[in-house]
Amino acid sequence: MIGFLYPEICNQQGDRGYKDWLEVHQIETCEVEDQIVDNLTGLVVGDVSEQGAILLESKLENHWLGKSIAQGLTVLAIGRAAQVLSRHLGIEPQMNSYKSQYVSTVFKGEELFGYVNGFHDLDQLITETQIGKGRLISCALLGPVAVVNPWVEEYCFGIKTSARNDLVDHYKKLLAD
Amino acid sequence: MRTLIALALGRASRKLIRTFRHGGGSAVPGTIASKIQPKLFEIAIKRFPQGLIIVSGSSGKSSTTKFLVQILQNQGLSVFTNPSTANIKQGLFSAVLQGSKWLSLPKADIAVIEMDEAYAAVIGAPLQPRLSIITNVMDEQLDRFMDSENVVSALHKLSLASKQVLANGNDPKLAKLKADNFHFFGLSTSLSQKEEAPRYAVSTASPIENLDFEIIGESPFKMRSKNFAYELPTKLQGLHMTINFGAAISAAELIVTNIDHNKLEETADTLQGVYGRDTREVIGGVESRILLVQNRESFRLNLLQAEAAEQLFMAIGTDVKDPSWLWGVNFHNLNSVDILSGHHAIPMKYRLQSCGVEVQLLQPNFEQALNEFIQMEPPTNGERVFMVTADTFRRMKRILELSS
Repeated sequence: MIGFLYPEICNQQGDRGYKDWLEVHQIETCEVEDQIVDNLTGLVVGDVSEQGAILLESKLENHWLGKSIAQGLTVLAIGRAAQVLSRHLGIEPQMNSYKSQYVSTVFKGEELFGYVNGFHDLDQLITETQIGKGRLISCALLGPVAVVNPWVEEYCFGIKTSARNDLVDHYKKLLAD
Repeated sequence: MRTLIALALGRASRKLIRTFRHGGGSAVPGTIASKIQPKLFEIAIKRFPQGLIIVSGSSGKSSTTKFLVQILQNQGLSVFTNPSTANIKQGLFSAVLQGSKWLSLPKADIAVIEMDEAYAAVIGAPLQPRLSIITNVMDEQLDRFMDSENVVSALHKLSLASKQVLANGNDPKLAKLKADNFHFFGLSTSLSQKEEAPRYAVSTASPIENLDFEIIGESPFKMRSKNFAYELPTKLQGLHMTINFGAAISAAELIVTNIDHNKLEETADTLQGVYGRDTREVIGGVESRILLVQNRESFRLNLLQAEAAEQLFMAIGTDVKDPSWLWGVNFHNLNSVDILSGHHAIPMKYRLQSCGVEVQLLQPNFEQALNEFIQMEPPTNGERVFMVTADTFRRMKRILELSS
């Protein structure tokens, strides 16, 4: 089961759409809010706006999420949500510059494509931090990053959906343009 | 002298471009004129005896502007305005060229100008508008604004420089800007909770509880203010259009001393919308509906209008810089898209598939896609709908020689 944390707030770039993608591929999903969900294989935390970040921060106070990560949960956190979550987990998020454009980046030897918009560590657009038995994967590539890059969903959640080579090619072309 | 030269060269280039390019040429003449006389727009605006009204915000600017212009004209005022979407610097200068006759600047009682949010702070605020209408703040054009708070900040600058501000009180981000010069319009609580009501950007603030202009009915349009209870016939489709109309009437009440209610009723009855915003047009012998989608929320609201579509053409153009936001639109109520085209047809195909929507044909060549759609057998018991973004709408108008 893949969870989506506070999908009403963490949906700045249409992040919630990935839930539909998983469901159409018969992968179980759920919305994760204040109530404990204990059968998660992974959690997506979509991007948030400046105001959304304030709301997310307040909702994370005394939240069970940190404990779940320490027990082995993998979290894919996108855009500004990754910065909020990093601070919540006591990791200092790296931000060195502002960028708004298509990018490619290499993570664990894989070339990944997407769009960045905001202040991020442009030398490391994706980072992974081990927290107890779990992982926080902070991703500056926005929106449907796991749809555009099939490798991401396999690496984060151990799942494979359908092939979409033309979508990857489209992003490569956008980057080249 | 600079003003005269700017008018002469700007108007000449406008004429030349329009001779060779159907429906084009709005930005270049404005650019030329602005290089020659950077104060051309300011000089033109300061000549209108009843001042300037600016309409800004994320969406609804064009419709609100067009509705207000019609209301004011029917109340007996001559109005200078800009064509819809010509709302950034070049477009504003082009509007001056378009409204001028020979070498004389436009003449009118009042100016009603639609202005892009960023330009409203830079160009609009220094002109100290008599009234600024702020429609809403959405999460849109994030590639440009990065965050909706930056839009709020630009609109706040405009509000500080305006004598009066009329803002959408349903939008919490605008409610937060409340000051002495503010009036608020909006939907009543019951209307604002409907599925068809617009949703605004996430905020820690709350909407305004006591609206100065409260819309309480959609059809007929009903609104109450401190002075009047309005009940007007309209053919508007969708609550988002009702809000735009409500904003326009509220503005008219603030501007016109003795509003003529019979004339207002006439205007409401014959109200013209902005071309492309739910426009009915005979294309290829078939009455078709054109729905322009510009952001996540306008896509959602237009999809509610497209439920009767039997044939659907969809094209996502280059104006969509980052197609991520398409993943925030819920397409589950659509059955199928007949032809999908445009620069971002491929990401759109995946988004539609993830909502279980079948794409009958993905045609990357836009002109061919249009022709194939138009040549389909006419619908038998539903509508033919074109759902396009700004870029594909412009191309569609040019290819099909549609006159707006």
